Amino acid sequence: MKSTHRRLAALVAALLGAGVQSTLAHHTYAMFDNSGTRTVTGTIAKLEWKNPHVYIWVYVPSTANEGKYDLYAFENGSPSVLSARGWTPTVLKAGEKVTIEYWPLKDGRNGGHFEQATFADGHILRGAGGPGRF
Amino acid sequence: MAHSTRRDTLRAALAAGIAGALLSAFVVSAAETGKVAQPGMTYESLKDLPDLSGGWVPITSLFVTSPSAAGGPVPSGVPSNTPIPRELKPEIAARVASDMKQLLAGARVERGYCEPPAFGGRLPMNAGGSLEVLFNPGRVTIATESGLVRRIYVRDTPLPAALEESRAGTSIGHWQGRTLVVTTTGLSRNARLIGRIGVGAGARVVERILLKDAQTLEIESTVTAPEVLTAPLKTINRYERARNRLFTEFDVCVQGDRSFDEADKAERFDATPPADLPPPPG
Repeated sequence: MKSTHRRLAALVAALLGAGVQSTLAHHTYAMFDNSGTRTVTGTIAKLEWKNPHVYIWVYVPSTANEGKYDLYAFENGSPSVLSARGWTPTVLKAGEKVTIEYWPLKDGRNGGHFEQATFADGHILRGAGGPGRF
Repeated sequence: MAHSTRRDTLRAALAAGIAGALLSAFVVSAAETGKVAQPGMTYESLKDLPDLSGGWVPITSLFVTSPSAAGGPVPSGVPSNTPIPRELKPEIAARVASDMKQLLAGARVERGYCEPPAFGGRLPMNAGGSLEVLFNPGRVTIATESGLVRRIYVRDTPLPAALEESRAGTSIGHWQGRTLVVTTTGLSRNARLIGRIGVGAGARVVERILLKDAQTLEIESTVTAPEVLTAPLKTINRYERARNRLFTEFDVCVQGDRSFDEADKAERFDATPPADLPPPPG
């Protein structure tokens, strides 16, 4: 509870941090479940390199329908923020196999806020912001 | 001999007269242009200025994932450790607290996401906060990734044609040794100081911009805003040098933003696949 209180105070502080538009003030992450992250392993379909949010689309083998795939959608920060953390428009290529850790959507749909991706060779690509990072 | 003395006298008088006329012209010229004896007033002397020019990224958890070259832990992106500055008037602080409570609950509020960027006394330190410092003779330009362009004229007084209020405000500066001291007036009263609170009429900002070390830029800002503050609000922003940063436009305008329902003014997660999504594997 103390930790949650601290994170909430930090979130409030960050939202107040600047008087101009910001990703944090743009988003409160209220639609994501901040109780913990989940992981899925799948194949990158597409990376959308757009303002204000980058979107990552991933095909994940379906657990309900063998041989079929579920489409997952993950969002993260803006290209300007992510490029400072090493992202490029081609950092996640279509066809690449990755394991995605994410904060799930509260409404149960497939996807959520991207936390990090682990590639087949073990290297990790981290996102920015999110319910757990203040 | 008498003729020679008279000629010398005439020459001396003529020389004095010319000198006096030139001096008057200089004084008038200086008063008109506000020129002061400062470095960086010519292209040649720009190289003598402190190495502030180039790209900088805010030292916050969004941008810098490891301790900066300045050493020590990466400071929080929040300018102050307290969520709501104590310098805010009580009724303003109450509005800020109320706004934040609504936002955290996912309330449908107008957040002004399509307003052009404006300077409310403190530069943004989160997304869109990277900036570029550019030198021209007699002028320092600060351009942020969110689209705010501030032109700081190295002079004693604002340009005669300066607007009464503008989004960037009217900035004049002077070098105190290796520190650029900037005074900004004429800020748009609606330019956000904190949250959704405008800085108000009659605000004034004094900034001290300097190199903390070769890789760290520091901007200390003191905002005086009589409509919203009981006392000057001081903030220190620090940036890490990023000479090779590829500046990428940052825009949160909700028009066309899939993460915001413009009709309901509510956040949403749009899981509609793009039209050009490749088919599944196999």
